[in-house]
Amino acid sequence: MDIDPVIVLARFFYYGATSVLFGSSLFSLYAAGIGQADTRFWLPRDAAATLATMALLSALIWLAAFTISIGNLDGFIATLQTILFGSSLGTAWILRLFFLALLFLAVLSQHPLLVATAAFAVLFSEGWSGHGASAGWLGPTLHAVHAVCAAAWVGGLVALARVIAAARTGTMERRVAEAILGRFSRIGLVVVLLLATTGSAMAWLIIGGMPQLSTGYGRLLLLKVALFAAMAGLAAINRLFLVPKVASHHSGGALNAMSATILLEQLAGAAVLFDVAVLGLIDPHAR
Amino acid sequence: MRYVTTAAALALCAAFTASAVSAHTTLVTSIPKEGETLNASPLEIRLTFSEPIEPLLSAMEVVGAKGEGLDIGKPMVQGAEMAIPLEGLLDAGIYKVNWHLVSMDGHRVEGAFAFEVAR
Repeated sequence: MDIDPVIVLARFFYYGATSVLFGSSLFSLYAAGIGQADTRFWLPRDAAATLATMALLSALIWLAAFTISIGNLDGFIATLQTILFGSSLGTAWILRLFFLALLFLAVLSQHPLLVATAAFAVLFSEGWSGHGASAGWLGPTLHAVHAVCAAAWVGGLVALARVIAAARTGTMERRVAEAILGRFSRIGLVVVLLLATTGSAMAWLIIGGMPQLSTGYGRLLLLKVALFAAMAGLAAINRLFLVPKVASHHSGGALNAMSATILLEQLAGAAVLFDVAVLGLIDPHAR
Repeated sequence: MRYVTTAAALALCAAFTASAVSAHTTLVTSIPKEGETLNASPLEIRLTFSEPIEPLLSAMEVVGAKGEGLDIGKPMVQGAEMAIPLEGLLDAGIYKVNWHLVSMDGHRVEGAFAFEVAR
């Protein structure tokens, strides 16, 4: 099966934008009740609106490219109408577009809880598309939880970098930064556990065993696992060695080191999202 | 944390006891079979897939040896089967069936096979 690069890129930007909006909105909730921490939405309005627009446009491009790829009916509009209103895929697509429109409105409101709720709805609805969507209730549920957890982690890394930058420049008290980082780390532990569990369960459900190097799907899945392990390792270094030093008088080195590890985590996270953008399109059993 | 661990353990158990989904739909069997030589024109072409397919997004066409398409109308799709009656009998020759489908999880799959009518 040929992979449409337009669909791959659309899916990558769609996952990236919704993840950053979701993960960043959660940081306002992590900061709640911590001293003088800023509990407003952590992304500037323009940047957030750009991401929400990117998510919506990417989804529309993805839908258009998918419609063209089918290309056996009487024209683009007729095919699109059949997908949306004459197939079992329609409900998932209509919900996805509806939640993305809500996300755009939530972003304009700059209310973190609204952004988090709308982004959660977008991500959770991912469960009803892709591999495993036809596997009763289990496949969609595992996929939905996996997508939400991945976004909380990968998207949260953007806000995490902003916390570190604010602590380095002195615009945020370092004890406040330490408290926020501590909360993110504790949530991160739960997220890593859920990602590992749902990921393993989905792999078993989709390929019926361990991923094999003999298939393209297996190679991409193993690459994703390796990137996940690298991210978890970097997060553990932050949690165990660097976060405890943030509030100390000599935290400059720790903050510099955290900036570097978070950048590496972000790069690995982006690679995971690209991997997923391809993985969801290929046949798990094709050699 | 205890609840998360319990939920994770339950999810793993449920997945590992469930049978694997086929993920991408495959052609299980067809009438006529791939490469089959028939003594007479088939009355229909029937394809059976590994899982149900989207009825309105799946189709097939039959082309002759010179690549000319036969006017056979739209196939009927029910569950995992796609069939089309051949109202006009096929002349002797080699025919190719091109099919494509969209599975219930949104993946487009296509394939082709040939058969021969020898009279």
